Amino acid sequence: MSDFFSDFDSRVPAWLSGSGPAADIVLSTRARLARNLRAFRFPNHASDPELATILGDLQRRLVRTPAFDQGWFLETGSLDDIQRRSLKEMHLVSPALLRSPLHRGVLLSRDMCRTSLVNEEDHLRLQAYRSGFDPGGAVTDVLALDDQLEGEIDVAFSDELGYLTACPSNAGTGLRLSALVHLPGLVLAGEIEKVLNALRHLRFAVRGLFGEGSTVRGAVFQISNMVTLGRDEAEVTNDFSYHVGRVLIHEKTAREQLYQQDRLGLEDVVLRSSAVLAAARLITAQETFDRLSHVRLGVSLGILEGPEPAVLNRALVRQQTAHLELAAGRSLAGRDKSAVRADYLRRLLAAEDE
Amino acid sequence: MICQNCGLKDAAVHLVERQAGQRLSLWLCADCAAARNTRYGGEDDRPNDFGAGGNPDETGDADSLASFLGKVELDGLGRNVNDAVVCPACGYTMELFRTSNRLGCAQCYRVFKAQLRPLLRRFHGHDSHLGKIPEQAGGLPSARAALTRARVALEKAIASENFEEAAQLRDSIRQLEDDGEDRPPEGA
Repeated sequence: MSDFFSDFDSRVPAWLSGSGPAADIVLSTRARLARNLRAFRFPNHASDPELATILGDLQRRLVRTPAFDQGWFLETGSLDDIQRRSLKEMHLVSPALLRSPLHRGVLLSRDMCRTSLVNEEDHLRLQAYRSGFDPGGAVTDVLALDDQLEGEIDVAFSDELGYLTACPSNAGTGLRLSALVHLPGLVLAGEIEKVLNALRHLRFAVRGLFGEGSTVRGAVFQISNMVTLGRDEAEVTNDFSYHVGRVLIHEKTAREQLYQQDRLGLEDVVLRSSAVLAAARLITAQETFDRLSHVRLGVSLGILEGPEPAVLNRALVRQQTAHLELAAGRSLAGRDKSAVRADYLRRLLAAEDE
Repeated sequence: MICQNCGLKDAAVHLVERQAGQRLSLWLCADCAAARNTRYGGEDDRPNDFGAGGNPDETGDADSLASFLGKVELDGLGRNVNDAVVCPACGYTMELFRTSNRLGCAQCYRVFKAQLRPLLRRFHGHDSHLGKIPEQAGGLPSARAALTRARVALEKAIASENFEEAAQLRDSIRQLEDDGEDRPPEGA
């Protein structure tokens, strides 16, 4: 295993490839299973020696699985602050894991499409990612991972309540599906609240780019199921595909209508943002999220010829602070940060024009 | 609605507290709720209405965990009767659950079954598992799963006004329930 951070620039998750179903609206789909060991207290209540034992045991078993034997194991306690934040910016670990990093860790498959978080809220969280909108594929992948591990661990399970989790909101299948969706059409048309409220009514959680507590940036929303008990994996998957699929149809319609009703206005928004990214000398992360959102919309409507979704996805991740800091090899603050970010974006878009 | 504490941000949490016998209702933003030590508002992977309250758009008072936990039964000495129960495996109590929104270990589900059941039912709409069963637990769907499946199907049939199917399902549920009574109870 080579060092994950030694060749960081080449570490791009395959699920940012911009391919897959409905990739013009959905960045990626993730399926997650929560699992715990019967013999140990849940991580929030476990002692440090207990956490260390669990981490050692699960790591040994996980690195032998086909998913992770060519990948990486990162113990969050031994990473520096910038490295830890970069994993969060890539959506590979949760902010919760970083708040108390000691005796916790993450395993990454070579393509970063499968990950395992150890000693986050639950002892084990298995995750599978797919590019675009592919709930069925993500669930298949994560269940396969679970199957490989199942005979190895004494999992906390009850016939009545299913897989037992630290928070009862995950009990049952422990399955949470999430999609990162880009909904600028519904935002611009003023219909976003209506659509999101309908989703909430159907027991879906809608949050910003980084999950609970995060603000919505660049019209990117995270939609996930809330019900994990009393519905099997297939039903949860079908339900999710159906209801999120309807949101995608609304978004497509909103985009087309906006373009028909006010072509000039929409072109102005898109081309203005494209020009800012190509010319700015100082730019904040928040503005970048918004500008990239407009450019992405422009590409999907044919107002702009490029960049490709893969490049835009990469930019979305790479323009964030820890990624800029890793590339620069130093920590950045204030104006310096905005300048380095603007530089990165200008070079990225210039390379696209060639 | 605007947060009633800071008056700046949108309220995301409905907090119901009892103080000196008075019911106190507060709409708070995630930050102010977190400051009140409710553990809501962390950037973790939790559905945002499990915890101290929920989304004001969808969960009324009766739906929230806070109101559920707010119904505190006191014993003669003014102590919460539920708090007397301690998980023998890990030492956890319902009081700790109320502040952390986490349980202490897998055994807690059995120890606090009576308190958790209405909560699970309210949050998930169901209180028994359907889906994957690990091989070590037999790997086969239980009679309970068949019952749950039939109940879910019944709800759907009623919702879609398919009453003929609903009647059949109701009969098969009764049959399954009768069969289940001969069996020893399955452990949680």
